[in-house]
Amino acid sequence: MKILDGGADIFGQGSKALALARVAFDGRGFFVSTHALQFDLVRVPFTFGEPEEARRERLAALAASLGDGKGQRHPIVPTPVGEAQGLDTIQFFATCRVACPSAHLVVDLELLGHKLGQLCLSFGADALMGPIVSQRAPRLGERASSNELTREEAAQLLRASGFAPYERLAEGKVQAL
Amino acid sequence: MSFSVLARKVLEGALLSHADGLALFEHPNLVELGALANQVRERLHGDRTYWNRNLHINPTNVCVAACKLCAFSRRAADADGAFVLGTDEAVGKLRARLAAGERVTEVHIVGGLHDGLPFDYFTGLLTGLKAAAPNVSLKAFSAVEIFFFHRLYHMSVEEVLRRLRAAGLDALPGGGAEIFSPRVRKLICPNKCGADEWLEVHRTAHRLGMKSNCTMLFGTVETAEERVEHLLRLRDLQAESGGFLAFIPLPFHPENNALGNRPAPTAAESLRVCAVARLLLSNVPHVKAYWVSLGLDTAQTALWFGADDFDGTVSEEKIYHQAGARSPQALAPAEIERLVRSAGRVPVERDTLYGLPSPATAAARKEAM
Repeated sequence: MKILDGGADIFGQGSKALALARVAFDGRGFFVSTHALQFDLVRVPFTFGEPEEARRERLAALAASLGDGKGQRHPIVPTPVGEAQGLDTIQFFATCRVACPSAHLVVDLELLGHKLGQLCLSFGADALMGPIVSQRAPRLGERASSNELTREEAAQLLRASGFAPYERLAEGKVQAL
Repeated sequence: MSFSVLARKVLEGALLSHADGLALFEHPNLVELGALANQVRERLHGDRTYWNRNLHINPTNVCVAACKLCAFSRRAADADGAFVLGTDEAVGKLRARLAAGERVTEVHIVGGLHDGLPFDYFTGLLTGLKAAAPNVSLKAFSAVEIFFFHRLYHMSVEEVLRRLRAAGLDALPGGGAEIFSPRVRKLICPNKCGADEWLEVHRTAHRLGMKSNCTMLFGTVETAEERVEHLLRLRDLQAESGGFLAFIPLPFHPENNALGNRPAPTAAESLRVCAVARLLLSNVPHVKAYWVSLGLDTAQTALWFGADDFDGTVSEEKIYHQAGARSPQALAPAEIERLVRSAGRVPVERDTLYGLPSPATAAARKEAM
């Protein structure tokens, strides 16, 4: 299998990350509305072009501080510093998942967009976070490129990536979408 | 059929069946599917990822077809936003690029089905562009347009192609195929030519010695079965005529058109179609990640899901952007090369027929071997 410039093996690492996410959460994928956050998120910055070794060391330290695998499932949000690059972002998600197998790995849709965000669900992410609306205005004129999602659209993004869709609510509750 | 059996068939070079295609579309592990398509891609092209320096020209957006999927067209010539590009104006776009010191190796021309223009308008457009830049390839008029010319100007498809070729036409783009299923065409593009006609135009072009591309628009109302049938019809024609250079998967864009209440296909779906196409279309040399339509991130990722071509610099793309595409309007050559390299691939500049446009390209190809 080929090694990319960034040092991660896209398919090997991706398969492992996806499998870990599916097993850890019983095949459930989560949606979190940015308007209803009731829990702490840990932002994990990454920069395109930074050495792979530095990333791994940072993630190992994060995993140790979270006590990953010891009960509580912390939500962590890989957060690009500067412009997100497609494959680099996907590889970082896979690396995060392998480093933190029990954490909720959350995609910030406002930072990554729907397309790249959904791809991360195939490389270790198990949750999407973004603005939710009860009914989206038609995609016309100025709203043609709106980032808003309805719950059904969010559920569809999760389903299309092979996850059973759930919404994360306050106090640790979840609800099927 | 299990995925490992399918994978063995692919690696042994066996022709995949309709049932195999369906199984690939339904395979739950996208990463595994991508890895298999990537093996085929690397067997054919190694790390090479092709791109070209192209300019898009849309002669008119006036169109009688009134397809529900389209955000580009205007029904009447006097409608708000309707345009017909004068020949001088079109040639001027090319001249301006060349005068600015840019290299252009291909002009890609597609437009609406305008029933008020003489055939001379189109031959004049080609002649004018060729006179301005004789070495630039003209890849022009989708099979839908060629078939429309045949009906409108009362000439056979072959005669249309011969006359356009005499005026400078070098190759046909692959647009307008949408989905071949009559059920789907009736719903999304009832006034376009049918699948048989689309295929016949390409068959005729290939018989005349011309090369062309082929496409599939996915994500409207089609089923997986209809996608597989579409791809296998393309494979059958390729087995017969051998004239397709590249297959281009085109995700539906829902903005500003009559199908706007439908969600766009997700990025994962785009990668899945790309991978399945690479596996089913074993006799089509190239699969293109058309960045305008896919978006840069997905196009970059598609280079690991079967695609080996990033398309080109483009410039002035209108059709997808009016349907909500958020990709840039153009990419500089250096930006394409950076995107391809940062995806772990080796960029190789090509001309329309996948030849070498310059000595520098030959050196890049050598590097990629």
